Amino acid sequence: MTLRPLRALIYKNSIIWLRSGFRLADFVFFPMVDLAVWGFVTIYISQISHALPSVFIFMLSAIILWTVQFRAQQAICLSFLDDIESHNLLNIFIAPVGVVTHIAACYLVGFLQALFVFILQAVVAYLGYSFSFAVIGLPCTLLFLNLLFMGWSIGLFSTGLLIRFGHTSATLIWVIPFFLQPLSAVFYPVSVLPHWLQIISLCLPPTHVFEGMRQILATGRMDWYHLQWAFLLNVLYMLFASAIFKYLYEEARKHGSLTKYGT
Amino acid sequence: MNNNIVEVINLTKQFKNTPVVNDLSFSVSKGEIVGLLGANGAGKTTTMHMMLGLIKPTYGQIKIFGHDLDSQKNKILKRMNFASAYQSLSHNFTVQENLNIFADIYEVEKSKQRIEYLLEIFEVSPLRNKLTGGLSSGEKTRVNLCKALLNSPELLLLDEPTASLDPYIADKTRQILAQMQAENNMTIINTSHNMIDVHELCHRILFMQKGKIVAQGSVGEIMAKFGSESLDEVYISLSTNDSIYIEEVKTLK
Repeated sequence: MTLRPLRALIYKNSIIWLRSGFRLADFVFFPMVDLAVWGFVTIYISQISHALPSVFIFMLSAIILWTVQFRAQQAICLSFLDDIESHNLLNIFIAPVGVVTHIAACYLVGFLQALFVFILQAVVAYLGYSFSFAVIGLPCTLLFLNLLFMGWSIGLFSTGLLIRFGHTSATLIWVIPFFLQPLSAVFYPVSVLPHWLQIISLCLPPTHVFEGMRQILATGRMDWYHLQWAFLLNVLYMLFASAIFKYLYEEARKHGSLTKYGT
Repeated sequence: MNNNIVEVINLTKQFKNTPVVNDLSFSVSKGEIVGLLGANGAGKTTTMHMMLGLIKPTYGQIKIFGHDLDSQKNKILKRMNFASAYQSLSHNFTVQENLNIFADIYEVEKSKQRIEYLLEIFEVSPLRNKLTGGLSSGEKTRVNLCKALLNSPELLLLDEPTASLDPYIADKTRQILAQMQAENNMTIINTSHNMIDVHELCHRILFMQKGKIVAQGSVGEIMAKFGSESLDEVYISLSTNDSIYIEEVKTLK
Protein backbone atom coordinates (compact mmCIF):
# COMPACT_ATOMS: atom_id res chain seq x y z
CA MET A 1 0.00 0.00 0.00
CA THR A 2 1.20 3.51 -0.79
CA LEU A 3 0.72 6.60 1.35
CA ARG A 4 -1.98 7.89 -1.02
CA PRO A 5 -4.98 6.61 1.00
CA LEU A 6 -3.47 7.94 4.25
CA ARG A 7 -2.90 11.33 2.62
CA ALA A 8 -6.52 11.38 1.41
CA LEU A 9 -7.84 10.59 4.89
CA ILE A 10 -5.64 13.27 6.50
CA TYR A 11 -6.94 15.78 3.95
CA LYS A 12 -10.54 14.69 4.60
CA ASN A 13 -10.21 14.85 8.39
CA SER A 14 -8.53 18.27 8.26
CA ILE A 15 -10.98 19.93 5.89
CA ILE A 16 -14.11 18.97 7.83
CA TRP A 17 -13.02 21.43 10.51
CA LEU A 18 -12.73 24.29 8.08
CA ARG A 19 -16.07 23.73 6.35
CA SER A 20 -18.30 24.26 9.33
CA GLY A 21 -18.48 27.62 11.09
CA PHE A 22 -19.48 25.92 14.34
CA ARG A 23 -16.53 23.52 14.24
CA LEU A 24 -14.16 26.31 13.36
CA ALA A 25 -15.50 28.25 16.35
CA ASP A 26 -15.03 25.21 18.53
CA PHE A 27 -11.51 24.77 17.20
CA VAL A 28 -10.21 28.35 17.45
CA PHE A 29 -12.65 30.61 19.27
CA PHE A 30 -13.33 28.63 22.45
CA PRO A 31 -9.66 27.99 23.34
CA MET A 32 -9.18 31.75 23.07
CA VAL A 33 -12.22 32.38 25.28
CA ASP A 34 -10.85 29.89 27.83
CA LEU A 35 -7.54 31.65 27.83
CA ALA A 36 -9.12 35.08 28.25
CA VAL A 37 -11.45 34.02 31.08
CA TRP A 38 -8.82 32.12 33.05
CA GLY A 39 -6.25 34.84 32.44
CA PHE A 40 -8.49 37.60 33.80
CA VAL A 41 -9.69 35.46 36.72
CA THR A 42 -6.14 34.72 37.83
CA ILE A 43 -5.10 38.37 37.46
CA TYR A 44 -8.02 39.29 39.69
CA ILE A 45 -7.21 36.57 42.27
CA SER A 46 -3.57 37.68 42.37
CA GLN A 47 -4.64 41.29 42.95
CA ILE A 48 -7.11 40.68 45.74
CA SER A 49 -5.21 37.99 47.61
CA HIS A 50 -1.65 39.18 46.99
CA ALA A 51 -1.00 35.53 46.25
CA LEU A 52 2.23 34.32 44.79
CA PRO A 53 2.72 35.67 41.26
CA SER A 54 3.30 32.08 40.23
CA VAL A 55 -0.46 31.36 40.56
CA PHE A 56 -0.88 33.35 37.38
CA ILE A 57 1.63 31.38 35.32
CA PHE A 58 0.44 28.07 36.83
CA MET A 59 -3.08 28.77 35.64
CA LEU A 60 -2.17 30.00 32.17
CA SER A 61 0.25 27.13 31.55
CA ALA A 62 -2.38 24.65 32.75
CA ILE A 63 -5.12 25.95 30.48
CA ILE A 64 -2.81 25.98 27.45
CA LEU A 65 -1.56 22.44 28.06
CA TRP A 66 -5.02 21.05 28.88
CA THR A 67 -6.20 22.20 25.45
CA VAL A 68 -3.60 19.89 23.85
CA GLN A 69 -5.26 16.79 25.28
CA PHE A 70 -8.77 18.04 24.53
CA ARG A 71 -7.95 18.90 20.86
CA ALA A 72 -6.20 15.59 20.19
CA GLN A 73 -9.23 13.69 21.47
CA GLN A 74 -11.82 15.79 19.66
CA ALA A 75 -10.09 15.49 16.28
CA ILE A 76 -10.42 11.71 16.33
CA CYS A 77 -14.03 11.53 17.48
CA LEU A 78 -15.38 14.29 15.30
CA SER A 79 -13.96 12.77 12.10
CA PHE A 80 -16.08 9.67 12.71
CA LEU A 81 -19.04 11.72 13.94
CA ASP A 82 -18.99 13.69 10.69
CA ASP A 83 -19.11 10.44 8.70
CA ILE A 84 -22.07 9.24 10.77
CA GLU A 85 -23.92 12.53 10.28
CA SER A 86 -23.23 12.47 6.52
CA HIS A 87 -24.27 8.80 6.15
CA ASN A 88 -20.76 8.23 4.84
CA LEU A 89 -19.61 5.74 7.47
CA LEU A 90 -20.29 2.70 5.27
CA ASN A 91 -18.20 4.17 2.44
CA ILE A 92 -15.36 4.64 4.88
CA PHE A 93 -15.55 1.14 6.35
CA ILE A 94 -15.86 -0.63 2.99
CA ALA A 95 -12.86 1.20 1.57
CA PRO A 96 -9.79 -1.03 1.17
CA VAL A 97 -8.04 0.70 4.02
CA GLY A 98 -7.50 -0.91 7.41
CA VAL A 99 -8.98 0.61 10.55
CA VAL A 100 -5.38 1.30 11.65
CA THR A 101 -4.90 3.68 8.68
CA HIS A 102 -8.11 5.54 9.57
CA ILE A 103 -6.95 5.91 13.15
CA ALA A 104 -3.45 6.96 12.07
CA ALA A 105 -4.95 9.72 9.89
CA CYS A 106 -7.08 10.91 12.81
CA TYR A 107 -4.06 10.85 15.15
CA LEU A 108 -2.03 12.98 12.75
CA VAL A 109 -4.84 15.50 12.34
CA GLY A 110 -5.26 15.53 16.14
CA PHE A 111 -1.54 16.26 16.52
CA LEU A 112 -1.65 19.09 13.96
CA GLN A 113 -4.71 20.66 15.55
CA ALA A 114 -3.30 20.39 19.06
CA LEU A 115 -0.03 21.95 17.89
CA PHE A 116 -1.82 24.76 16.05
CA VAL A 117 -4.03 25.68 19.01
CA PHE A 118 -1.10 25.34 21.42
CA ILE A 119 1.01 27.80 19.40
CA LEU A 120 -1.94 30.14 18.95
CA GLN A 121 -2.68 30.18 22.68
CA ALA A 122 0.99 30.64 23.54
CA VAL A 123 1.23 33.63 21.21
CA VAL A 124 -1.98 35.19 22.55
CA ALA A 125 -0.83 34.59 26.15
CA TYR A 126 2.42 36.36 25.33
CA LEU A 127 0.71 39.30 23.65
CA GLY A 128 -2.17 39.56 26.10
CA TYR A 129 -0.56 38.75 29.44
CA SER A 130 3.18 39.00 28.71
CA PHE A 131 3.42 35.36 29.68
CA SER A 132 6.06 33.41 27.80
CA PHE A 133 5.78 29.64 27.59
CA ALA A 134 9.54 29.63 27.12
CA VAL A 135 9.83 29.56 30.94
CA ILE A 136 9.07 25.85 30.78
CA GLY A 137 11.79 25.29 28.22
CA LEU A 138 12.46 22.07 26.36
CA PRO A 139 10.60 19.74 28.78
CA CYS A 140 7.48 21.41 27.40
CA THR A 141 7.79 19.08 24.38
CA LEU A 142 7.61 16.04 26.65
CA LEU A 143 4.62 17.45 28.53
CA PHE A 144 2.93 18.19 25.19
CA LEU A 145 3.59 14.65 23.89
CA ASN A 146 2.20 13.01 27.02
CA LEU A 147 -1.01 15.00 26.82
CA LEU A 148 -1.25 14.24 23.10
CA PHE A 149 -0.96 10.49 23.83
CA MET A 150 -3.64 10.70 26.49
CA GLY A 151 -5.89 12.66 24.09
CA TRP A 152 -5.39 9.94 21.48
CA SER A 153 -6.30 7.22 23.98
CA ILE A 154 -9.49 8.97 25.09
CA GLY A 155 -10.30 9.70 21.44
CA LEU A 156 -9.89 6.05 20.47
CA PHE A 157 -12.05 4.91 23.39
CA SER A 158 -14.79 7.49 22.61
CA THR A 159 -14.74 6.56 18.91
CA GLY A 160 -15.20 2.91 19.84
CA LEU A 161 -18.33 3.92 21.78
CA LEU A 162 -19.48 6.03 18.84
CA ILE A 163 -19.30 3.24 16.26
CA ARG A 164 -20.85 0.73 18.65
CA PHE A 165 -23.66 2.89 20.10
CA GLY A 166 -24.01 5.66 17.51
CA HIS A 167 -25.26 9.16 18.21
CA THR A 168 -26.51 8.28 21.69
CA SER A 169 -22.91 8.12 22.89
CA ALA A 170 -21.82 11.36 21.16
CA THR A 171 -22.34 13.38 24.35
CA LEU A 172 -19.54 11.38 25.95
CA ILE A 173 -17.07 12.95 23.52
CA TRP A 174 -17.49 16.21 25.44
CA VAL A 175 -18.25 14.72 28.85
CA ILE A 176 -15.19 12.44 29.26
CA PRO A 177 -12.57 15.26 29.22
CA PHE A 178 -14.56 17.31 31.72
CA PHE A 179 -15.01 14.27 33.93
CA LEU A 180 -11.24 13.73 33.89
CA GLN A 181 -10.28 17.38 34.37
CA PRO A 182 -10.94 17.66 38.15
CA LEU A 183 -9.25 14.29 38.72
CA SER A 184 -6.18 15.26 36.69
CA ALA A 185 -5.11 18.07 39.05
CA VAL A 186 -4.91 20.50 36.15
CA PHE A 187 -5.36 23.75 38.07
CA TYR A 188 -4.29 22.69 41.59
CA PRO A 189 -1.73 20.28 43.07
CA VAL A 190 -2.79 16.71 43.61
CA SER A 191 -2.18 17.19 47.35
CA VAL A 192 -5.36 19.28 47.71
CA LEU A 193 -7.52 16.29 46.78
CA PRO A 194 -8.83 13.93 49.48
CA HIS A 195 -6.53 10.96 49.97
CA TRP A 196 -8.77 8.45 48.18
CA LEU A 197 -9.08 10.78 45.17
CA GLN A 198 -5.30 11.28 45.14
CA ILE A 199 -4.89 7.54 44.56
CA ILE A 200 -7.21 7.72 41.54
CA SER A 201 -5.66 10.95 40.34
CA LEU A 202 -2.13 9.50 40.36
CA CYS A 203 -3.30 6.71 38.08
CA LEU A 204 -3.99 9.28 35.34
CA PRO A 205 -1.12 10.39 33.07
CA PRO A 206 -2.19 14.09 32.94
CA THR A 207 -1.86 14.35 36.74
CA HIS A 208 1.87 13.63 36.40
CA VAL A 209 2.16 16.05 33.50
CA PHE A 210 0.61 18.91 35.48
CA GLU A 211 2.53 18.07 38.64
CA GLY A 212 5.69 18.12 36.51
CA MET A 213 4.66 21.40 34.92
CA ARG A 214 4.12 23.07 38.30
CA GLN A 215 7.45 21.80 39.52
CA ILE A 216 9.29 23.30 36.54
CA LEU A 217 7.49 26.61 37.00
CA ALA A 218 8.19 26.65 40.74
CA THR A 219 11.78 25.39 40.82
CA GLY A 220 13.03 25.73 37.26
CA ARG A 221 13.93 22.04 37.04
CA MET A 222 12.19 18.98 35.66
CA ASP A 223 11.27 16.09 37.92
CA TRP A 224 11.75 12.99 35.78
CA TYR A 225 9.81 10.89 38.26
CA HIS A 226 6.52 12.42 37.10
CA LEU A 227 7.42 12.22 33.42
CA GLN A 228 8.40 8.56 33.70
CA TRP A 229 5.06 7.78 35.33
CA ALA A 230 3.19 9.78 32.70
CA PHE A 231 4.90 7.84 29.88
CA LEU A 232 4.39 4.47 31.52
CA LEU A 233 0.72 5.15 32.23
CA ASN A 234 0.23 6.46 28.70
CA VAL A 235 1.56 3.21 27.26
CA LEU A 236 -0.91 1.29 29.43
CA TYR A 237 -3.81 3.59 28.52
CA MET A 238 -2.99 3.32 24.82
CA LEU A 239 -2.94 -0.48 24.99
CA PHE A 240 -6.17 -0.48 26.98
CA ALA A 241 -7.88 1.97 24.58
CA SER A 242 -6.74 -0.11 21.55
CA ALA A 243 -8.10 -3.30 23.11
CA ILE A 244 -11.43 -1.62 23.98
CA PHE A 245 -11.70 -0.12 20.49
CA LYS A 246 -11.03 -3.47 18.84
CA TYR A 247 -13.64 -5.10 21.09
CA LEU A 248 -16.25 -2.39 20.39
CA TYR A 249 -15.52 -2.51 16.62
CA GLU A 250 -16.05 -6.29 16.55
CA GLU A 251 -19.20 -5.88 18.67
CA ALA A 252 -20.42 -3.24 16.19
CA ARG A 253 -19.90 -5.75 13.34
CA LYS A 254 -21.61 -8.47 15.36
CA HIS A 255 -24.67 -6.35 16.22
CA GLY A 256 -24.86 -4.58 12.84
CA SER A 257 -24.23 -1.15 14.41
CA LEU A 258 -21.96 0.01 11.58
CA THR A 259 -24.83 -0.32 9.12
CA LYS A 260 -27.47 0.85 11.58
CA TYR A 261 -25.71 4.11 12.43
CA GLY A 262 -23.88 4.49 9.12
CA THR A 263 -26.96 4.77 6.89
CA MET B 1 -11.84 -24.11 -13.49
CA ASN B 2 -14.06 -22.47 -10.91
CA ASN B 3 -15.46 -19.29 -12.45
CA ASN B 4 -17.23 -18.16 -9.30
CA ILE B 5 -16.53 -14.62 -8.16
CA VAL B 6 -18.71 -14.96 -5.08
CA GLU B 7 -19.32 -18.05 -2.98
CA VAL B 8 -21.63 -17.77 -0.01
CA ILE B 9 -21.56 -20.94 2.06
CA ASN B 10 -24.10 -21.75 4.79
CA LEU B 11 -24.28 -18.10 5.77
CA THR B 12 -26.30 -17.39 8.90
CA LYS B 13 -26.83 -14.20 10.82
CA GLN B 14 -28.79 -14.02 14.03
CA PHE B 15 -29.61 -10.84 15.87
CA LYS B 16 -30.58 -11.64 19.48
CA ASN B 17 -31.15 -15.29 18.51
CA THR B 18 -33.51 -14.33 15.68
CA PRO B 19 -32.20 -15.56 12.32
CA VAL B 20 -32.19 -12.81 9.71
CA VAL B 21 -30.15 -14.81 7.21
CA ASN B 22 -30.61 -18.52 7.58
CA ASP B 23 -28.12 -21.06 6.23
CA LEU B 24 -27.86 -19.24 2.92
CA SER B 25 -25.71 -20.64 0.12
CA PHE B 26 -25.28 -19.35 -3.41
CA SER B 27 -22.59 -18.50 -5.89
CA VAL B 28 -22.21 -15.87 -8.57
CA SER B 29 -20.12 -16.33 -11.71
CA LYS B 30 -17.89 -13.79 -13.36
CA GLY B 31 -19.87 -11.36 -15.51
CA GLU B 32 -23.24 -12.32 -14.06
CA ILE B 33 -25.81 -9.76 -12.94
CA VAL B 34 -27.76 -11.27 -10.08
CA GLY B 35 -30.82 -9.71 -8.50
CA LEU B 36 -31.35 -10.36 -4.82
CA LEU B 37 -35.07 -9.91 -4.28
CA GLY B 38 -37.46 -10.21 -1.41
CA ALA B 39 -39.80 -8.28 0.83
CA ASN B 40 -38.55 -5.91 3.51
CA GLY B 41 -36.82 -7.92 6.20
CA ALA B 42 -36.10 -10.88 3.90
CA GLY B 43 -32.37 -10.56 4.63
CA LYS B 44 -31.12 -9.07 1.33
CA THR B 45 -29.36 -6.02 2.73
CA THR B 46 -27.94 -7.95 5.69
CA THR B 47 -26.50 -10.47 3.21
CA MET B 48 -24.98 -7.65 1.19
CA HIS B 49 -23.53 -5.99 4.29
CA MET B 50 -21.96 -9.31 5.31
CA MET B 51 -20.40 -9.51 1.84
CA LEU B 52 -18.84 -6.10 2.52
CA GLY B 53 -17.47 -7.15 5.90
CA LEU B 54 -19.68 -4.64 7.73
CA ILE B 55 -21.63 -7.32 9.59
CA LYS B 56 -20.00 -10.39 11.04
CA PRO B 57 -21.81 -13.64 10.17
CA THR B 58 -22.93 -15.85 13.04
CA TYR B 59 -21.94 -18.91 10.99
CA GLY B 60 -20.82 -19.62 7.48
CA GLN B 61 -18.24 -18.34 5.06
CA ILE B 62 -18.03 -15.81 2.25
CA LYS B 63 -15.42 -16.23 -0.47
CA ILE B 64 -14.89 -13.46 -2.99
CA PHE B 65 -12.39 -13.78 -5.86
CA GLY B 66 -11.49 -17.11 -4.26
CA HIS B 67 -10.32 -15.47 -1.03
CA ASP B 68 -11.89 -15.73 2.40
CA LEU B 69 -13.50 -12.36 3.18
CA ASP B 70 -12.80 -12.52 6.89
CA SER B 71 -9.06 -12.98 6.54
CA GLN B 72 -8.35 -11.00 3.34
CA LYS B 73 -10.85 -8.18 3.54
CA ASN B 74 -8.77 -5.27 2.25
CA LYS B 75 -7.37 -7.25 -0.67
CA ILE B 76 -10.94 -8.11 -1.72
CA LEU B 77 -12.44 -4.66 -1.07
CA LYS B 78 -9.89 -3.06 -3.38
CA ARG B 79 -11.45 -4.95 -6.32
CA MET B 80 -15.10 -4.32 -5.47
CA ASN B 81 -17.40 -1.46 -4.56
CA PHE B 82 -20.85 -0.65 -3.29
CA ALA B 83 -23.57 1.95 -3.74
CA SER B 84 -26.85 2.39 -1.96
CA ALA B 85 -29.67 4.88 -2.28
CA TYR B 86 -29.54 5.26 1.51
CA GLN B 87 -25.98 6.49 1.81
CA SER B 88 -24.24 9.68 0.94
CA LEU B 89 -20.71 10.98 0.70
CA SER B 90 -19.45 13.51 3.25
CA HIS B 91 -21.87 16.45 3.33
CA ASN B 92 -19.23 19.08 3.98
CA PHE B 93 -17.26 18.38 0.81
CA THR B 94 -18.03 19.22 -2.78
CA VAL B 95 -18.83 16.39 -5.16
CA GLN B 96 -15.42 16.77 -6.81
CA GLU B 97 -13.58 16.72 -3.46
CA ASN B 98 -15.44 13.63 -2.30
CA LEU B 99 -14.62 11.78 -5.50
CA ASN B 100 -10.98 12.91 -5.33
CA ILE B 101 -10.74 11.55 -1.77
CA PHE B 102 -12.18 8.15 -2.72
CA ALA B 103 -10.04 8.01 -5.88
CA ASP B 104 -7.01 8.39 -3.63
CA ILE B 105 -8.30 5.87 -1.09
CA TYR B 106 -8.84 3.31 -3.87
CA GLU B 107 -5.56 4.41 -5.52
CA VAL B 108 -7.30 4.91 -8.87
CA GLU B 109 -4.91 5.48 -11.76
CA LYS B 110 -5.60 8.47 -14.00
CA SER B 111 -8.20 9.49 -11.45
CA LYS B 112 -8.85 12.91 -12.96
CA GLN B 113 -10.00 11.43 -16.28
CA ARG B 114 -11.97 8.70 -14.55
CA ILE B 115 -13.86 11.22 -12.39
CA GLU B 116 -14.55 13.41 -15.42
CA TYR B 117 -15.91 10.44 -17.34
CA LEU B 118 -18.20 9.29 -14.52
CA LEU B 119 -19.50 12.80 -13.77
CA GLU B 120 -20.25 13.15 -17.46
CA ILE B 121 -22.12 9.88 -18.01
CA PHE B 122 -24.23 10.25 -14.87
CA GLU B 123 -24.97 13.86 -15.87
CA VAL B 124 -23.72 15.35 -12.63
CA SER B 125 -20.86 17.45 -14.04
CA PRO B 126 -22.66 20.73 -13.24
CA LEU B 127 -22.81 19.66 -9.58
CA ARG B 128 -19.08 19.10 -9.17
CA ASN B 129 -18.50 22.25 -7.11
CA LYS B 130 -21.63 21.93 -4.99
CA LEU B 131 -21.51 20.67 -1.42
CA THR B 132 -22.77 17.07 -1.34
CA GLY B 133 -25.02 17.86 1.63
CA GLY B 134 -27.01 20.28 -0.52
CA LEU B 135 -27.86 17.79 -3.27
CA SER B 136 -31.25 16.19 -3.78
CA SER B 137 -31.56 12.49 -2.94
CA GLY B 138 -31.53 11.56 -6.63
CA GLU B 139 -28.38 13.62 -7.21
CA LYS B 140 -26.73 12.02 -4.17
CA THR B 141 -27.59 8.57 -5.54
CA ARG B 142 -25.91 9.37 -8.86
CA VAL B 143 -22.82 10.74 -7.11
CA ASN B 144 -22.74 7.54 -5.02
CA LEU B 145 -22.79 5.54 -8.23
CA CYS B 146 -19.85 7.60 -9.52
CA LYS B 147 -17.97 6.75 -6.32
CA ALA B 148 -18.89 3.06 -6.65
CA LEU B 149 -17.52 2.89 -10.20
CA LEU B 150 -14.34 4.90 -9.53
CA ASN B 151 -12.10 1.88 -9.12
CA SER B 152 -13.62 0.00 -12.12
CA PRO B 153 -14.75 -2.74 -9.74
CA GLU B 154 -14.78 -6.36 -10.81
CA LEU B 155 -17.66 -6.89 -8.38
CA LEU B 156 -20.27 -4.22 -7.77
CA LEU B 157 -22.87 -4.50 -5.02
CA LEU B 158 -25.90 -2.26 -5.40
CA ASP B 159 -28.59 -1.75 -2.78
CA GLU B 160 -31.68 -0.34 -4.50
CA PRO B 161 -29.61 1.83 -6.84
CA THR B 162 -32.55 3.47 -8.58
CA ALA B 163 -34.78 3.94 -5.53
CA SER B 164 -34.68 7.73 -5.52
CA LEU B 165 -34.22 8.36 -9.24
CA ASP B 166 -36.79 9.76 -11.64
CA PRO B 167 -37.81 7.40 -14.49
CA TYR B 168 -35.52 9.09 -17.05
CA ILE B 169 -32.42 8.95 -14.84
CA ALA B 170 -33.32 5.46 -13.59
CA ASP B 171 -33.48 4.25 -17.19
CA LYS B 172 -30.21 5.96 -18.02
CA THR B 173 -28.57 4.44 -14.93
CA ARG B 174 -29.64 0.94 -15.99
CA GLN B 175 -28.22 1.57 -19.45
CA ILE B 176 -24.90 2.79 -18.02
CA LEU B 177 -24.63 -0.19 -15.69
CA ALA B 178 -25.49 -2.62 -18.50
CA GLN B 179 -22.94 -0.97 -20.78
CA MET B 180 -20.17 -1.00 -18.16
CA GLN B 181 -20.95 -4.59 -17.29
CA ALA B 182 -20.70 -5.60 -20.94
CA GLU B 183 -17.46 -3.67 -21.51
CA ASN B 184 -15.62 -4.92 -18.43
CA ASN B 185 -17.39 -8.20 -17.75
CA MET B 186 -18.20 -6.80 -14.33
CA THR B 187 -20.17 -8.92 -11.86
CA ILE B 188 -23.12 -7.17 -10.26
CA ILE B 189 -25.30 -8.16 -7.32
CA ASN B 190 -28.29 -5.92 -7.07
CA THR B 191 -31.08 -5.68 -4.52
CA SER B 192 -34.17 -3.91 -5.75
CA HIS B 193 -37.88 -3.53 -5.27
CA ASN B 194 -38.11 -2.12 -8.76
CA MET B 195 -39.01 -4.95 -11.11
CA ILE B 196 -38.02 -2.90 -14.18
CA ASP B 197 -34.44 -2.92 -12.82
CA VAL B 198 -34.63 -6.66 -12.44
CA HIS B 199 -36.20 -7.29 -15.87
CA GLU B 200 -33.75 -5.11 -17.73
CA LEU B 201 -30.54 -5.86 -15.86
CA CYS B 202 -30.51 -9.22 -14.18
CA HIS B 203 -29.38 -12.49 -15.78
CA ARG B 204 -30.53 -14.41 -12.75
CA ILE B 205 -32.59 -13.67 -9.68
CA LEU B 206 -32.52 -15.07 -6.16
CA PHE B 207 -35.74 -14.64 -4.27
CA MET B 208 -35.26 -14.43 -0.52
CA GLN B 209 -37.79 -14.93 2.22
CA LYS B 210 -37.06 -15.17 5.93
CA GLY B 211 -33.34 -15.27 5.26
CA LYS B 212 -33.46 -18.15 2.77
CA ILE B 213 -33.53 -18.44 -0.98
CA VAL B 214 -36.97 -19.68 -1.96
CA ALA B 215 -36.67 -19.43 -5.72
CA GLN B 216 -33.94 -18.85 -8.24
CA GLY B 217 -33.50 -18.70 -12.00
CA SER B 218 -33.81 -16.28 -14.88
CA VAL B 219 -36.78 -13.89 -14.95
CA GLY B 220 -38.51 -16.14 -17.51
CA GLU B 221 -37.87 -19.31 -15.54
CA ILE B 222 -39.19 -17.79 -12.32
CA MET B 223 -42.36 -16.51 -13.97
CA ALA B 224 -42.95 -19.88 -15.68
CA LYS B 225 -42.39 -21.75 -12.44
CA PHE B 226 -45.01 -19.71 -10.60
CA GLY B 227 -47.36 -19.49 -13.60
CA SER B 228 -47.31 -15.72 -13.39
CA GLU B 229 -47.36 -13.16 -16.12
CA SER B 230 -45.24 -10.63 -14.29
CA LEU B 231 -42.43 -10.61 -11.80
CA ASP B 232 -44.48 -8.32 -9.60
CA GLU B 233 -47.05 -11.11 -9.19
CA VAL B 234 -44.37 -13.61 -8.16
CA TYR B 235 -42.94 -11.03 -5.79
CA ILE B 236 -46.28 -10.47 -4.09
CA SER B 237 -47.06 -14.21 -3.86
CA LEU B 238 -43.70 -15.02 -2.39
CA SER B 239 -43.79 -12.12 0.02
CA THR B 240 -47.24 -12.88 1.37
CA ASN B 241 -47.60 -16.63 1.19
CA ASP B 242 -45.76 -18.65 3.82
CA SER B 243 -46.79 -22.00 2.32
CA ILE B 244 -44.81 -21.18 -0.84
CA TYR B 245 -41.85 -20.52 1.40
CA ILE B 246 -42.10 -23.90 3.13
CA GLU B 247 -42.68 -25.75 -0.13
CA GLU B 248 -39.88 -24.04 -2.01
CA VAL B 249 -37.33 -24.46 0.74
CA LYS B 250 -38.14 -28.18 0.83
CA THR B 251 -37.79 -28.42 -2.97
CA LEU B 252 -34.51 -26.55 -3.05
CA LYS B 253 -33.10 -28.78 -0.29
